[in-house]
Amino acid sequence: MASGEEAEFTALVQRQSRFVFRVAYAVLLNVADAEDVVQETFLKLYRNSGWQKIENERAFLARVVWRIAVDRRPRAAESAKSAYADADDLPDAPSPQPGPEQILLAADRHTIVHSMIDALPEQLRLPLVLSAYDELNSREIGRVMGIPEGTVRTRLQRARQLLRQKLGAREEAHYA
Amino acid sequence: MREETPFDRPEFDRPEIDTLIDEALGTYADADSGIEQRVMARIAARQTSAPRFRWMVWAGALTAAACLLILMLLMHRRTPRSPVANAFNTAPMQEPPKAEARFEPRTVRRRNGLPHHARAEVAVGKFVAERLPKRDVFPTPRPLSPAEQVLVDFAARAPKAEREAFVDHQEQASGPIAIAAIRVTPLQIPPLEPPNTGSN
Repeated sequence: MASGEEAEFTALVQRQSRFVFRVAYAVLLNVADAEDVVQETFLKLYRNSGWQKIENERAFLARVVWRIAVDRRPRAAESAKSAYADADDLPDAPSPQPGPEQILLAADRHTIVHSMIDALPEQLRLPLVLSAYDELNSREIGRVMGIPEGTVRTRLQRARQLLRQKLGAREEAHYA
Repeated sequence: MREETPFDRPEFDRPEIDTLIDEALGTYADADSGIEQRVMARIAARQTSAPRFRWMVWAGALTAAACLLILMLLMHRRTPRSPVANAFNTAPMQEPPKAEARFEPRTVRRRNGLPHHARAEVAVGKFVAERLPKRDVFPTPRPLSPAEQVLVDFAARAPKAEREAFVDHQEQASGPIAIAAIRVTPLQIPPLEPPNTGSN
């Protein structure tokens, strides 16, 4: 690879590695595995030089990393996650008694929201994570996941609705 | 009057929760610092390790090619004649013409009759053995043996009388054998004397 292309590829890694990591983590829910997938993704791009022709960087990378992460996802983890396939099985609100979670809520509400996002079913979690970036609209998310645009919107609404319910219940319990 | 719930407080209204979700999504799955350097380091490591094993690929390819060449040579090698056959075959024989194989290419066509694209067209075919030339005389004439050569010389040089005598002799030798009738004279057996019947 020429030095110019080398520099371009380095810039691509600098720009998108965190985004790629988030997509991988949204599928695998494991930091070490997600980082392995990130490295594998960029290594694959580096070898076949496919990155030079892409138009929408994030959509392309999201598609590539999502496929690699899904291939790597162990079946055991998938079966464990299937316990949350029904959205009603999300972690319930804590008991009114002050517990460790409530203390943690007071300390870092973002961490609680992150754990709730982790607990979402993958079909709701991934569109939500991808939608956090302005560059990816519902149509592009649908192309990444291979689902219609309308389905993406429905899942996004459902994910946010679930998070609102659970967060509201937590806040209510905290101030009860 | 309705009791005030936490959601009635201004900090817990719906926009506040949506803002909290958006903020949390912004920091969700934030990679550890230095992930870019780790990715580039891994790519660099793979890049430097690749030439180390490249010679092994070439070595394997060369070995495979050599094996293929040896196999082809062995397949085309002639089968040696046995020493017994060589010992009995003293007369110089004319080598019969051998059938030579030639490659007959043909164009592959799809089932619907359309030819393949020019790039995809592959030179396929089969090896066809050339037909042997048809001979006028069968079996193929062989050179004369020494005995036959002597006979030809005799026929060319000897006078006519001797040749006719030789032919007669051959005919007599090859003709039916005349055997004289065998006459067997009957045996003359004298009559036997009567036994001596004396009185004692």
